[in-house]
Amino acid sequence: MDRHSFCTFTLIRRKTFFRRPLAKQIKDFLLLKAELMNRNLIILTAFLLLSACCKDTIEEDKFFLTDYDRAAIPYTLNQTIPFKHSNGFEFDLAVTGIDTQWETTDTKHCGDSYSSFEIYKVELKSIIPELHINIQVFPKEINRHMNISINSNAGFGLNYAAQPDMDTLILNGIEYYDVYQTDSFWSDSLTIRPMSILYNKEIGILQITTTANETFTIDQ
Amino acid sequence: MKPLQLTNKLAMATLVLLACSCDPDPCLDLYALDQLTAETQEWFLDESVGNQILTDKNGISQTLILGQTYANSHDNSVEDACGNTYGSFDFSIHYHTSISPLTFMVDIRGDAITENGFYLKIDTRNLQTGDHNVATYYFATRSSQDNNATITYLDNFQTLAWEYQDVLQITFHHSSSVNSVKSVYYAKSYGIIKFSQENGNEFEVM
Repeated sequence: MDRHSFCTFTLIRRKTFFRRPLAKQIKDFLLLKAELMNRNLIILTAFLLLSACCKDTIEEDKFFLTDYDRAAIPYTLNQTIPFKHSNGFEFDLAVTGIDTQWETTDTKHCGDSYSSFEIYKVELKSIIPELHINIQVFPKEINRHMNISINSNAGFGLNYAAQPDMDTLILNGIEYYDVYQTDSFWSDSLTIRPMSILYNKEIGILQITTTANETFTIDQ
Repeated sequence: MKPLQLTNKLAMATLVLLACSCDPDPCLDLYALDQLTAETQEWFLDESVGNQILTDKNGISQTLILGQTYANSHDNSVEDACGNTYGSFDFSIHYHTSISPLTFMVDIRGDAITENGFYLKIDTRNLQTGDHNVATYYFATRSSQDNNATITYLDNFQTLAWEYQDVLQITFHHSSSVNSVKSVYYAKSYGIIKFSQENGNEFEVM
């Protein structure tokens, strides 16, 4: 098809607005503009009145992490941990970020009080397979579970203050003690996702199992 | 003749001359448009294609999840001076990977309003790093006009599991990290069948 056959064509305008006389269009436009201005004025006034009623928000509590909470994520910055896939592929998980941040609880209404709390965050990464693992602990008043997310595609909650799920476990020839297991919130077995994690408070992540029964296992 | 009258007459004459010098818009080439429409719509995803298993070159598997597909069409989107009208259509597919943090958006459109109205656009994103690449293949010119990518039409393409006919190979030239998507293979009616990342890893549909 040559270029000229594509040149500008007239769009069909179905709206009758453009078929009215110009003077009528201008009059309608001015009326619409005045109506919009009035509406904006009413909204602004209502907003100012509501804002004036709002009390100052008050920080009700401040929750700090304990050494016990921080120690539950035993990684140090720039540490690399060797892992092996169940098909034999070996790779390293690297600790790329460790940070403590302050956050606040949500407030639903104007003037509600809120609480501040610390979060201890550790980030692990591998290039192949591309894994971005974020581990977070909170003060027990906020959340008793450690959160572990993998590539934002899978989330896990691990109650590290409870009794371990297994006393001992052998992985790649090494025996580990006091092993915790946490299962994903996802229940869709037709999609291949991280399904469970084995964790130890002295070592960290020991194994990730997917719904295809493939494993990423620590290989020390 | 008063100066005002002279000015008015000159203005009128100029308008008449301008109007006469304009070429009328050519009529829509309906035969060519029908051909382009048929060719473009062949690249829609077949209804039988759903979620698929991907395996990377190290044997690690995950799912290529087919998200919502969206199809829409309009009658009489354009009208020419000869009284002909022509419609338009839009088909989009959203994929994401179940373990890797990647998404792919494929948009296939047909619209007679411009020369490049019939195209297939692929948009890739890494949700963790924010890497983003876009490339467009135009069916009328059988080419891409993007500087950031090369699109090659492959008559045949062999993966580990299957041989496909009519595949677009999109190779991006710029990457912001090792996790950027480097290339994508899109097969007619099968959709995405393979992709690779800047880090050298490759994923194929099994």
